[in-house]
Amino acid sequence: MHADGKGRVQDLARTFRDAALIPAHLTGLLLVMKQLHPSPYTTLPPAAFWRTGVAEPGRAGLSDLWSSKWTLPSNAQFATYGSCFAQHISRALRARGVGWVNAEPAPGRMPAELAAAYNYQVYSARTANIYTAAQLRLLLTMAVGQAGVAAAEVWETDGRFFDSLRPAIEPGGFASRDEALLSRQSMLRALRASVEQADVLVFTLGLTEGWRSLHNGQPYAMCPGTAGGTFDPNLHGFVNYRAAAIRADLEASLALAQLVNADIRLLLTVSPVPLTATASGQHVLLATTRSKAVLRGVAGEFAEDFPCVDYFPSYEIITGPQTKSAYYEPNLRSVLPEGVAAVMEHFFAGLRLMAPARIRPDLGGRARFRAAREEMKAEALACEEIMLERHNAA
Amino acid sequence: MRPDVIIIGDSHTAALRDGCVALGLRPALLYLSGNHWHSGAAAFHPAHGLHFARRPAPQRRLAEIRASIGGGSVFAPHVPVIASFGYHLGRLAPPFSGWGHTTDAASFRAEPWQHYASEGLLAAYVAHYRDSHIAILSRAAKLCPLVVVAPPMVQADAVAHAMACHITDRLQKAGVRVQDARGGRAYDGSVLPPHLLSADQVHGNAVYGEAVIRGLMKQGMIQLSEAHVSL
Repeated sequence: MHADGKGRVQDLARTFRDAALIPAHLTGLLLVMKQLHPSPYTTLPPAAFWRTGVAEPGRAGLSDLWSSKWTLPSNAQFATYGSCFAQHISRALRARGVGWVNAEPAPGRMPAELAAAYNYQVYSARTANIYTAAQLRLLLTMAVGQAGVAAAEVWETDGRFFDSLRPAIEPGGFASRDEALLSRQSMLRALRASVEQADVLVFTLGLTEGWRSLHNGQPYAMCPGTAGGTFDPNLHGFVNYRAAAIRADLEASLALAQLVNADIRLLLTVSPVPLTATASGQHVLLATTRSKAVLRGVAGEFAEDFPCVDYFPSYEIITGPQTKSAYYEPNLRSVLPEGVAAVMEHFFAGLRLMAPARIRPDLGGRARFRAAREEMKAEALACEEIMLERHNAA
Repeated sequence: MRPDVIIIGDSHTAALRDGCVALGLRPALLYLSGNHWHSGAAAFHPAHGLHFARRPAPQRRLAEIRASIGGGSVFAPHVPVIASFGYHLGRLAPPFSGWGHTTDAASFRAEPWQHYASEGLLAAYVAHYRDSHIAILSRAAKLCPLVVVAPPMVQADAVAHAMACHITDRLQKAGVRVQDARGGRAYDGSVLPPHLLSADQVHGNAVYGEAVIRGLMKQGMIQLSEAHVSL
């Protein structure tokens, strides 16, 4: 688009003029000055300027928004977790046939609607939504064995039991505390396995606001009393995590993940979905802005500081002025399918799956499923034979 | 000739039929493979008792049996029915546990590759595939003297055991009498002893069938109009 430096200088001059920073009659003078004394801006690409990067292309023409830091193997595996927007990433990876780690699959031949009701195939393990970095840190701490399975609360409500880490994971909760803990252990095994198997851990940051135990600091997935448990102001406290705490939780999470996979990469995104409600005392619009700004800032700096961490701009693609909020449903909160599609288009455009495929060990899952299928075939054959024998006898 | 008892079900009917014959009864056998029962090929029919869509062979057999008992429904008040359908565990348990899912806590703890499946999850899975069978049997139980014989455990399989117990519970709650040798939810890995197994190792044999029929008669779960059998 700009083969020479003069074109860029003209762009720059027009940008300044458009912004009414300089009167029109001085534009020519500026042009001359810039040609004589080029600044760092003179050689920048169009994407570096708002007009050519955003205003003119609009949301449909937005390009070169993200390019992965890493050249990944062509069969790269992604483990996906995070706030509710993260499930779109899981779904898109599956739909594209890009490697998505499914470390906790639904039982074989489970009808899709039933699998969905039990929260299978949403994330790489049945963690349910992980809204905060503190939650991610706790889950990884338990997954790598630095905290016991029973370290987090199980809530009882009307004779049913709910995992405080994922209170809505099973419709109606569990039959017993033991069962809730066994299911949690199953999820933690799968979470660990997903990190072991993945090349990239994708984590979507959702909220800064959360609730935690006033007794031991355990972060809750949801406020007690909303989807299980009973809220008690003497036991449960509100927290609005600040940037430093989120950064510390992310650093700890990365270190925990690296304990089981030294080569793991962390791809952070920020959910563009505004808060449903705030308990901060602020207006929900201010609380949303505070929350997202903090998360965006922490994610960006974390990615700048670590070669194994990258930031993907889901947030900007949906919320940027170029969209004029067109990617939101009328409730101005839920993201429309075309918004999700736009996010994933940028994601796949920026992925660099160009390194040779990695040889991956067969962990036995497929072999076991094949064995089960063979067992069914053999039994069906035996069933037919025994009846044929009876007909012979008759 | 009018049968003494009608046996309806999958391949486990073979042993039950052999058992009846050994005890001098005249059974009429209505067989459909477990695959077809599983896939929902049978439906309740208000006039005939059952209907097998696009399955001409069992449909013909159904007509023969109905004719032998005077027409009308195969579920008639004057002829006892022994059913061995509604379980078909060979179609349920292997796929359910194919990725490593188990409901058995001990097995889950011992095997790091296994996934724990809750009771609720197993119940929902079974309900999806077996609600229609349970509904047929529940309606049949209101029309005729019916007993369901649960398939024997031929190999140690905690998931199959849990599924069978769940189906038995559901049937009993639906008002269906069930003969289930498992006797409870606790899983101890016990299986049918070798002398009661058929050569294929996945069914009971004639000796097993005879013991089951004799047991049903002793418990009064099937009552015959004529005293064919000396117990």
